[in-house]
Amino acid sequence: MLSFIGRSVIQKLVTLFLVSIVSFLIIHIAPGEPSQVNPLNPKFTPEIVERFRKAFHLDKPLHVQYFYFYKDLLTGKTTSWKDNQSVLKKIWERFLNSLPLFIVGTLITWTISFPIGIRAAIARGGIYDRSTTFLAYLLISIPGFFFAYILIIFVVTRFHVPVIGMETFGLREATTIHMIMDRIWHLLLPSVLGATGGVAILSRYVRSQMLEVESQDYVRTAKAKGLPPEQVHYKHALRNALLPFVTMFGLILPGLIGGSVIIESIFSWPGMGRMAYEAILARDYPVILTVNFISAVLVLAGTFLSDLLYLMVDPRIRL
Amino acid sequence: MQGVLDKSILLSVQELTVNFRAEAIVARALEGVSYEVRQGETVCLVGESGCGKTVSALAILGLIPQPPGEIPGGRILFMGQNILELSEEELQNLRGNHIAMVFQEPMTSLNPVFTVGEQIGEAITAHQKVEGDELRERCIRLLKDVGIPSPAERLKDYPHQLSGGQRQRVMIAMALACSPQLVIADEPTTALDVTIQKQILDLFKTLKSKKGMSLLYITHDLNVVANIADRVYVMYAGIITEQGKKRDIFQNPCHPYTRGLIASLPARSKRGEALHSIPGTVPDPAYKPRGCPFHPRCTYAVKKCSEEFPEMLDCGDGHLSRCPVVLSSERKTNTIRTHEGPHYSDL
Ligand SMILES: Nc1ncnc2c1ncn2[C@@H]1O[C@H](COP(=O)(O)OP(=O)(O)O)[C@@H](O)[C@H]1O
Ligand SMILES: [Mg+2]
Repeated sequence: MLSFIGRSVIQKLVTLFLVSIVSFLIIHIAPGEPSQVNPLNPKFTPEIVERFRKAFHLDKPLHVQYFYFYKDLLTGKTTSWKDNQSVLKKIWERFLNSLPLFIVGTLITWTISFPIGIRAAIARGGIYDRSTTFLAYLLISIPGFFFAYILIIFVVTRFHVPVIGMETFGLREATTIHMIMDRIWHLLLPSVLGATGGVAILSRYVRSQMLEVESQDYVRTAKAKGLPPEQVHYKHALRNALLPFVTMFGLILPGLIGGSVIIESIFSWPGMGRMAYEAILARDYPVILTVNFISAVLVLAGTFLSDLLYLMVDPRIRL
Repeated sequence: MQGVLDKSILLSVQELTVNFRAEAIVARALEGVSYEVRQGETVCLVGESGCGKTVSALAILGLIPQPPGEIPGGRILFMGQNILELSEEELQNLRGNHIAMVFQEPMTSLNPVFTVGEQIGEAITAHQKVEGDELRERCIRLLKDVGIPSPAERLKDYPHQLSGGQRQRVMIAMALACSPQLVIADEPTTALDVTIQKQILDLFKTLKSKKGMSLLYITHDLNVVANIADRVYVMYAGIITEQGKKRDIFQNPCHPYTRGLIASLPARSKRGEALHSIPGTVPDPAYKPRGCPFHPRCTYAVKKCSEEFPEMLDCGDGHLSRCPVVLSSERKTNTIRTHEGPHYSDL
């Protein structure tokens, strides 16, 4: 057990190191440079560009730049090229904004997908199964932004659900209760919309897992014992069907930082996804690379977590 | 054979027909299969792979998946009750409680994520109100009955920690949990090593004589039949082709299929010679030949065989066969001779 953890951690550190190199190279090899953000801008005289390059070590060879960047990152001193603010502070603020959206969206996705998928699998081929299949494929094939606009048009005109930002502007003096309600109200549409695609895909996946397990010999054994259907389906089948989702559970973690660029853009949500997107447009390397690095850490931590969880739920895996 | 006929009939499958439908194709897995199991008797259902043995066993427990399966005809009388007419709750009460089944694949028939103890305990609590230490004691006794060493420790084991033979013993323990009147064993030794096969077979014999239940033993192996059966039903392509007491089947087989199966046995007297095997394979139940389904593989076949579906004919004393050709030709010369081949009189 301990040796598994040790080995795993070392492996992940090596991976992280390689990721840091590759992502650094990709960013720097990609066309464009921060100093050329707007070459037509008359303010960017050659001298200013030169000073800029020097200040950010852009005149140094790549491996030296790499060293400078990760030294700053690990000591928490990285600053954005765009506005000279601390990158970690920026990310933290945006992260706090994205978090509620992420949590509510994930909760909706997971709590809805499982009952739908399981029920569809148990009543395979029935009306319920066929209509959820149809709906799922419909939602998967409609582009997210298009669906968002349809939803906005219908819901907003009817129920006046807010669609812009995280809170009503100028509500600073309201009571706490009021402010919380306002926040939740603003969360509603983006998180539901963000969850829709997830529900459509995850419920399909749950269904196919469940179907596969339902055809296993041990499910037939459970029936042959004379167990009631609930125990056959929800104990013997479900317990096995859930195993692969334990792995997926760890992989939700990176979603924390990725956010959803599309959803956040549509709803003007000042979240992580949008920040990363804007940083890419501005070629703000420190922000891009930091976000990148943190996602890599989260992905690796997520896989580590799934390995540990798997170890706990599947008795066949012992170390 | 001491008075087998007097024993009352526990299970009577009558003209059972099972189809599997896929789009427009209908696979006729069983076509009017009839057989009986009497109190305390061991009945063997024997035939090559794919001839419908498992389907007929699953039908008895109401476990044919519908769809794609359908049961357009027949009755399955268990203690006088037609199983095909039971509600789902009544079936639940029957399964495991009165009729239990041991499956072919011990490797996949146990649930990998529950311990042996949980899975056996559940077979008991599904039908009886037992809990705590008493439940544990009963699980331990069951494991002891099926010959598992240090049963108390094994309760905490997961299936993957046991060998194939031990898993099959656990399956048998589960089947015995509620002392059912009938145990159906569907090729319980096919997936096991030869030495283990012998042990499991012996276990069945011991348990049967100890518990006095009836046993419907399904196999494709005539050696096993010779070892364990009281009466035998030979099945081919969804029909019963021959039935009778073990002696009749082995010493006076009246159907070419049975003769072919017996001739394919590696007999002691013929060591060194090439093994006989029946040419061809079992037909796909969706595309069975007209007439006698065995005729394309049959060395006795005459023109009539491809035209008429053969009736079950009496060979005397409960010995029935579905081959008019063998019966008429060998009756004429008045010699229903013992088939040349291994002699099982010593069994
Ligand atoms: N669930 C099913 N769906 C479709 N066909 C089936 C199903 N179960 C069994 N069959 C068909 O029924 C026939 C008999 O199968 P089976 O009873 O398993 O043979 P065996 O004698 O080897 O046990 C086979 O041809 C098989 O393809
Ligand atoms: Mg079978």
